[in-house]
Amino acid sequence: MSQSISSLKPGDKAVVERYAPDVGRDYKLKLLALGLTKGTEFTVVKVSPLGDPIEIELRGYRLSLRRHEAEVISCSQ
Amino acid sequence: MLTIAVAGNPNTGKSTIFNLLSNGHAKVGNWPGVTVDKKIGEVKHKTFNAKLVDLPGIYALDAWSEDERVARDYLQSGEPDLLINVLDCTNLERNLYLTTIFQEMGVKMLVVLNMIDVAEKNKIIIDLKKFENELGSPVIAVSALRSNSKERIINKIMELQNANGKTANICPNSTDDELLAEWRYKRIENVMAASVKKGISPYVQNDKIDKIIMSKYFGLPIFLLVMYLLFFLTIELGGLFIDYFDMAFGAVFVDGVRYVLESIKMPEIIIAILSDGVGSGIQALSTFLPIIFLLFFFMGLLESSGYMARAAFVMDRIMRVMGLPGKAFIPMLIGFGCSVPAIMATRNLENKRDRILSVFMVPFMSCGARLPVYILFATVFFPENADVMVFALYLTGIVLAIATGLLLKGIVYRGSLAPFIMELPLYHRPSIKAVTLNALFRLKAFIKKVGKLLVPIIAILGLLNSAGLLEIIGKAIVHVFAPMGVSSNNWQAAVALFSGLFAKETIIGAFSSLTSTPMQEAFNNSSAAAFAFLLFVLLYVPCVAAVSAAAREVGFALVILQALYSTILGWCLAVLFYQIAEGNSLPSIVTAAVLLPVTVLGVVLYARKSGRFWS
Repeated sequence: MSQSISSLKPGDKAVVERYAPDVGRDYKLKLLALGLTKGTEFTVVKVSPLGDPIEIELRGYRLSLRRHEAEVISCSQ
Repeated sequence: MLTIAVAGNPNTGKSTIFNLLSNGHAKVGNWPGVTVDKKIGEVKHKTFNAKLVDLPGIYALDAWSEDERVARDYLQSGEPDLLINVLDCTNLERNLYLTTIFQEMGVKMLVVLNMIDVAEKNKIIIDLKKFENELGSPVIAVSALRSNSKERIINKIMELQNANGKTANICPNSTDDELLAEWRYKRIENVMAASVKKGISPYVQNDKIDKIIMSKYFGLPIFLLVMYLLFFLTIELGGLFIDYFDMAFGAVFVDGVRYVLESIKMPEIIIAILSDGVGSGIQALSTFLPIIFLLFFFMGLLESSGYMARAAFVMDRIMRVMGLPGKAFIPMLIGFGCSVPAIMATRNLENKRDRILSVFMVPFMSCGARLPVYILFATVFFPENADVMVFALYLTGIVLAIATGLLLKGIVYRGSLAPFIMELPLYHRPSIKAVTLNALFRLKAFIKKVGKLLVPIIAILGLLNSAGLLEIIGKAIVHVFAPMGVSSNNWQAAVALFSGLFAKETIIGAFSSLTSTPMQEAFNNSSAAAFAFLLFVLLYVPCVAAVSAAAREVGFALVILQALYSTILGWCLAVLFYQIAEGNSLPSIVTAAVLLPVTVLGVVLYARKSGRFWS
């Protein structure tokens, strides 16, 4: 089942499936450069004390994203 | 001379390598057209001599941000003969993405694997020969902690020079964004698989600390405590030194210069220009030095310890309401101490839009120079509840700052809050030497750029003062303040406001030195007029030092816009307050009530018109 990053909880693992067609090109290029390419596995590791942003681990490093912005990435668990 | 550019991802220890090679000496410049610092150093080692240019920390070259545009333009300019690409050994996969892009560009490059000691500690094993072969570019692994690193890098560079540099010839097979990124990462995965053995996760220790510092319940209180300490240490500790700097620089550049010039019988006009003018300008500049140094020192500690990024992570949710990233909290906070370092701290924000928004908001925070003015007026006019009055002024400033933020965010830059993409670096014991060097570097930038504006402006104002022109100016402009309860025989108040342009704390001094009339009498015993005056003191043009600092960050046009906006806003609110409380002059109320929305509209329209160029 495909779902958005923002619905995952700390400890959840998932794989990048695709980008929403309406994603801004700049943001997408940035995420791609940071390694969120199709098929990349990642884990949600942290949530800010106020619930947002979240931190994920991928390719041996960690990256923080805002929930609603990261919604452009669909992933499967 | 050989020109070497240094590039890499943020948090790779790039500046450590830069400092190592240049022995910590760097010159400050600006990249053309943008407010990104350009650091230039020189490598000298035995017979080897080269120019070193530090590029901003970047992830790719997509021209997404000013930083990436600067880096791409510079590499394409053909100026650098060699590129040093600094990689963090503990995060190779992501770091190599930029390396592959450089390879595709065909630049001559040396790949420096930094922090090899940390990698070894984490049992990450890199087979350098295989790594170099698979990657197709020359590689060297170093640690800034090891004394021979500089020599080894330089030897390698000389080797490359002699070998007449073969560059990797790599051609991507796609122009589609996604496919291209996938292809690059595939290549990287192959390099990694062939030559790097993954060690233990560097995050294990880190997570133990984060469990407390970033926890649901302690995260926010710890953040507030750290911010309080930052503010307290910068402003209070820096404040202790202000008087010494003031006295020492005053003694040398004002009194000393006067003494020397008088002893060689210079005409009075020249003495006045050099001593009261330029001398007092340098004196005024000097009072900012301790605070600015300490601010950048403590911010550097937070930055290099890894906490700064976490502060942004914690505050993002709250600051986002005003359309600003979490990091923007820091300039706002520092603004309560002094607008000048606060405006300089906006440079840490990635986006020009965030910087502009912050520069508009910071002056509304009541700085330390305004507090004595508030206190003196409040104790004279509101002896019963002086604290409430002072608090009301602080609150008014905060409310107006938020309103300004919401206004600009809602109308001018709607929906353009930059996406939040950030790394929380590993906790790290900061190097005091590196942090001090960096703070000194920022201090030098301040003296050079802000001093260029501040000293002449203060010199001119100082000359007007010593020539007795202030009284004429005061009498001429006092009528402007009549609607807010400043009567025309109280021209000293107008002079005080004018001298407040130098520094707002001089308002009291200027006022009391010009008149022996008690303050109550000067303001016709009207506490409403006194409060209106304070409202105006809060809001009108920040001092010339703040204006100069802001001009450096966002350019003159916007600074003038901000100054006009806050001054007219201050005038309107002061007039409305006084007239509604006491004056009851309908024409004044109408004037202020019409001028206020017109000003706001004007700012919105102008900002909107020019806003296209900022995104």
